[in-house]
Amino acid sequence: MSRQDPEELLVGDLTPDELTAMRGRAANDPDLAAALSLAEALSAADADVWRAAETPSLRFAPDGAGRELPVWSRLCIRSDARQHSVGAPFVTALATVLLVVGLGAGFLLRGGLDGGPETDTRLEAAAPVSLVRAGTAPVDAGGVARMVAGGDGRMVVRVHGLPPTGDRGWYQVWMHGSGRTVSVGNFRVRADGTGVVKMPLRVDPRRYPAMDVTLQTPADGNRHSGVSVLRSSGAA
Amino acid sequence: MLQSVQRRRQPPDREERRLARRLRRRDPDVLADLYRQYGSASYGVLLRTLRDRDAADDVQQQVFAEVWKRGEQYDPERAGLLTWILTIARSRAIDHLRRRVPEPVSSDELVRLAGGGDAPADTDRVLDRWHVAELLAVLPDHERELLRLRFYEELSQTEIAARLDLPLGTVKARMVRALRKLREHLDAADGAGPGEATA
Repeated sequence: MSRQDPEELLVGDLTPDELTAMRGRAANDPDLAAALSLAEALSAADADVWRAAETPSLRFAPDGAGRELPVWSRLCIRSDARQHSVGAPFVTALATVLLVVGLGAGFLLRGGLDGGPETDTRLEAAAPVSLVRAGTAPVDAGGVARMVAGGDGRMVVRVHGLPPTGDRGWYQVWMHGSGRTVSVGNFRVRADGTGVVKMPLRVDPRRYPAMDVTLQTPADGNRHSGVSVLRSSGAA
Repeated sequence: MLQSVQRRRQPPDREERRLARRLRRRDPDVLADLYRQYGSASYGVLLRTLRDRDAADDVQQQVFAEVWKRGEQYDPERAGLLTWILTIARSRAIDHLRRRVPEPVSSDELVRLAGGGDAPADTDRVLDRWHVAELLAVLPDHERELLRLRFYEELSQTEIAARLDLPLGTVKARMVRALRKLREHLDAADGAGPGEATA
């Protein structure tokens, strides 16, 4: 009887003598007395008490309980609740997807990055037309244009070394031939002086063999400003 | 009054907050989770109050139907989930006793059940068979079965281990743990006074 814990004593296989000794000690040990009292109450419990102690199952169930959730809902639901409370990992994943989609949309709307037009293999394979500095343009200004003629005619122009125009103006691409000048498109450059623009080509380049790029201001309207900053290398 | 202040309710743990949130948001599956968590405590109170297993079972269903019905009104600032559910259980038990014609309950008993009056002496509480049933109801099934084999069927630990195909040490450890739980439950019940918040 060296054990001290009342519960350990009670679950042990005590002899009648040991049990009597324990009852004797319980008179001076409230903790042991309480444990002994509990054990005696358990021993006195009849079958009804033991059966009654089994908690019955819940028969009431609210509408919708136990209904299987659709897959999409399970993805956005927290494990502890059927509430559609989106968990942090899902928010992160969704934000990442939206960011990628946003960047992609921006990429497309801008006409692509410098390397973007490479996806248009036919255009990129077209013969390059060099654009050289003209007028008062910075000495390092230059560029290149490529064109594809036909029903889906298109042109890509890449420039560098041009000063940004800000809101005061823009650069415009012109084609010249047989005494006629047509506007092909316009663009602005980035802060580093570079720019890429892809535009439809609705004229036959064979009839408009010369090209230049002008700096335009709102005062110029749709007319050639006369301020050329780049011109095709064969043009006068 | 001092005792009342000292017995302020503990702040709800994370699981209780989740259950409360789901209950207020009308998640239909929360009721099963609430039942797993608080069903035995509620049933124990009903069993001891009504002293009739069938009646306790019927009222238990009413209690949890009411928990669901009143879920949106539950205010965690006023009472913990367990306190709130047990308050409903006591109310429904009193309603049931009032309706039960053949076995009238004294007005003193109704006062006691409603939380007033003096609690019976500890010894009386332990020896009351329905109180024993209430106590046993708080145990998980496997722990209650161990105690039943030990104290009702009067099997030795070795015999229990053989019948349940468990190691002897496991049987002993689980029985000790179950008895300690019952003691703690008794101590908590003895200590629970009028200081608990009510819904």
